[in-house]
Amino acid sequence: MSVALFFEQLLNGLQFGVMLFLMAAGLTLVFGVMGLINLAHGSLYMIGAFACASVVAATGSFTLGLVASFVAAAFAGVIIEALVLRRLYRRDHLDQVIVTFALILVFTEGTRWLFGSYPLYLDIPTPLQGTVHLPGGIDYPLFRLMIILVGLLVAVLLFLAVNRTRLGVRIRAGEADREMIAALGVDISKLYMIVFALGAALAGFAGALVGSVQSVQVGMGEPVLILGFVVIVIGGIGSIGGALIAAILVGITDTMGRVFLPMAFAAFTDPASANATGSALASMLIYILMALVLVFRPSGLFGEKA
Amino acid sequence: MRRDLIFTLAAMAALLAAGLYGYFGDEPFYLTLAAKAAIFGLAGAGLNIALGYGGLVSLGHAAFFGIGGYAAGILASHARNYEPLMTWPVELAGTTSAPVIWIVAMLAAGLFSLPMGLLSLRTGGVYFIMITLAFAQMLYYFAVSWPAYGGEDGLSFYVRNELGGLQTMNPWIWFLVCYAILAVVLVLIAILTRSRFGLALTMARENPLRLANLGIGPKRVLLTAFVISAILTGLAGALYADLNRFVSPAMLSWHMSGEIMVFVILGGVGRLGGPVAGACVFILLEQVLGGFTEYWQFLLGLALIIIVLMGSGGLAGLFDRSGAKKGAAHG
Amino acid sequence: MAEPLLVTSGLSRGFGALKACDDVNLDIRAGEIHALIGPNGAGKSTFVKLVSGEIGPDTGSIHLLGKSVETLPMTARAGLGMARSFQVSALAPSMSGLEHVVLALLPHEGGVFHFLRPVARERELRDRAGEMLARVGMLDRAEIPVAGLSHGERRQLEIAIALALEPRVLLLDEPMAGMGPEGSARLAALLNELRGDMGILLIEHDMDTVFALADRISVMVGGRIVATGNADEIRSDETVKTAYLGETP
Ligand SMILES: Nc1ncnc2c1ncn2[C@@H]1O[C@H](COP(=O)(O)OP(=O)(O)OP(=O)(O)O)[C@@H](O)[C@H]1O
Ligand SMILES: [Mg+2]
Repeated sequence: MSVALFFEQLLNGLQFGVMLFLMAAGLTLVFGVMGLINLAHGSLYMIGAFACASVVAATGSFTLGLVASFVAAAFAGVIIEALVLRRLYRRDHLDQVIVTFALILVFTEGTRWLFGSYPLYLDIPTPLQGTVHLPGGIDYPLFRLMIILVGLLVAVLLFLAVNRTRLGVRIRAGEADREMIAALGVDISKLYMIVFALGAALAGFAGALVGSVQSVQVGMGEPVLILGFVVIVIGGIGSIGGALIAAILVGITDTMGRVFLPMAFAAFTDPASANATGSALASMLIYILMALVLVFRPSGLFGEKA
Repeated sequence: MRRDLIFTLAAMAALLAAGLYGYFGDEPFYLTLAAKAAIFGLAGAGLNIALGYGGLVSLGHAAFFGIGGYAAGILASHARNYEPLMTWPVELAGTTSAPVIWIVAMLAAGLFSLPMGLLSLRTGGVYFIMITLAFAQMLYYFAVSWPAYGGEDGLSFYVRNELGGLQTMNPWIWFLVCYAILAVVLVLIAILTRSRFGLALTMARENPLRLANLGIGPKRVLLTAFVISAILTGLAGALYADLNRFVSPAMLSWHMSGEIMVFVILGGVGRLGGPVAGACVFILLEQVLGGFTEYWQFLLGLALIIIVLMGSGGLAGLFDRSGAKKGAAHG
Repeated sequence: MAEPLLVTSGLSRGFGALKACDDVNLDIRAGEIHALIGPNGAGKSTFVKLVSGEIGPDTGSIHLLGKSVETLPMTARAGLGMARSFQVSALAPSMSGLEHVVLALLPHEGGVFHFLRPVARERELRDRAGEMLARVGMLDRAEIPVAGLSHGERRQLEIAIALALEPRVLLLDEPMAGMGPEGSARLAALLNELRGDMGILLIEHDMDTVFALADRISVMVGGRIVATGNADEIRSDETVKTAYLGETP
């Protein structure tokens, strides 16, 4: 195994992790503040990707596409919050799960209806195509590097917003004690809407970015949603910092596992079965990681002790 | 209790009527649908033990459904290819005997549910939902990437497995087999909920702190319920594989978990006959709405949102209220 | 004198900056009623939660029947013979009072892991549960789901459940609150009757009841025990007068 390959995969893992963080951050915020478990968060990711693809197709501007992903997902988030989810904050988890599952059906089938089942591919804008030479002789796609940087930037901004701004104070107060912030005279339904829109926008943005590296298709959100849950379980609910570290851990473990486990097995067995065993095991790796965390730290790496 | 029984009998009667219509009207398609409803009802009845009686919101029951399915598929395919399942430490051959397959399916689902339940119950609450979902997804990806049994494409087998001398390929016979199993399981669940364990399970759901104060560990009770629940859903999976003569990772997908949950919600959470009624309605909707549009799940989603937001308690809730109204009119 | 049934030493637990229990040393002897009194928010319920294992202590130890139990889970402490009633009734709304008491009897009667025999047919268990309910005056309401019981009836049921556990140590957190005069009088008589069989910790705000029933009284203020003694000692204790009794004329 060459050093260059290792670092390239490390960067890929980092990129995946940063995108997972954008998903997980919204999930954690919404759960922490409103006590809502939102399965439809993956749909917002998908909406962002489709909005980006449509706007890029119509205008040719990738920047506008990214803006559209942000806006469309936030808008969709606000609508479902106002029409549906608002009624669920005081309901039990079962009602939340089933209604947000139903929302997935609505969004998935609605999107299939509008756009069909075939994946769409986005063209990366010309200035961002090509590769950059990194120290150590690695040629890495510029666009992926951009994603890592943008993702980390958003993570930092989010961290500052939650920890250093008035809105953040309210969000954290809301996580600690829902009655209290009402007593402080904060307009709680407005706060909820802002938090929801923010979480939705982050998911939509991540969808657009990942969609432009991979493809934009119906149902793309759910696998990422489930990974978002894995991230939250590992990181601990309610911790933005925990979510970031867990997301990067999951991203890197998954990416590296997929590349290197089959190679590792090839050292013992014939290539075909090494590949089969290696990739089957790699697909389970992050869940094994999650199980280990549950055994040793049931409330997550950074969660408060129950 | 009484209303629960009447509702259950009504749901079972409706399902039997659908089967009889298929048989006497010579519509094998309806018979297959009715068998599917019975199997889905069984899967839902399994989930209902965890979800309804134990209050455990499991979004991972597709794992057990799929394990049951693969148990059937793998055993049957080995038997048909005359390849032993394993040669070491003991030689194990496949089988096409349905009862053996059912037992293996239930054992396998139960065995997988044990560590899964233990880990998911470590923290409880909302984590339980996420962790059960994640472990089911793990199995899904494993099935997709493990090529021995068809990987992504799944595994087909050409004839149903054998049950005594019965003609299992005959849709009427197969429906009756599924129906009978469902009926037996419902009776067992009714007994279970009235047993000592049923009492403890109710307390574990409604007041775990009190249960612990009585010296009874809520987690042990809930874990037991989770395993029983998985075993029944695993049995349903084996029947479903035989119904289609096909298993694929789709049986393990999160979407399947969601659907099993929908059967329970549509019919009535924690109600004996709820999952049966819910599965019947689900399949009815699939046929009727699916006749209008290929995107029928869009409408299903809207309907579910409305049903849950109205808080109706599913079909069983509707049934109770209509009965209460009648009762009030008489009294 | 025999070893007390329950001994806590240096038991402390804080919530954030607040010390809800602060270095509490308290013991319960066999056959006594030990009353714990103190103003609202003194930390009495926190003490019960610590002893029963609902929450863990920051420091300190708890010995139950000579065994150190502060690291044992709630279920294990219950198994050793500790029962508790909750200040806010902790019951299952859909279950009847009889079912609650039957459930409480099960740990001593073969456990709950029986799946196929209907409880309705367990005659002997139901009869014994009925006796417990009769002792708290609730036999005629035995079959009604808790959701349909009054507040006072739920308090009575709490006691019946605790009795069914046949405890060596019984912790009662304001059992009479909300019971009404008749219920309180019956419970006082019942506690008098039980006194010989077990050690009882009684948290209660009504001073007449406390002085009439308790063998010893401990006074808790701001998380600390400020005095322990018999009724006369407590009545005449200066610290208690200023810290507590003075506030409730
Ligand atoms: N879980 C908790 N988190 C934070 N503070 C708590 C918690 N439980 C209790 N407290 C605080 O600890 C203090 C002691 O409470 P506790 O319930 O033990 O008082 P008490 O003596 O039982 O009062 P009362 O007579 O009203 O029942 C109170 O100030 C209470 O607000
Ligand atoms: Mg109290």
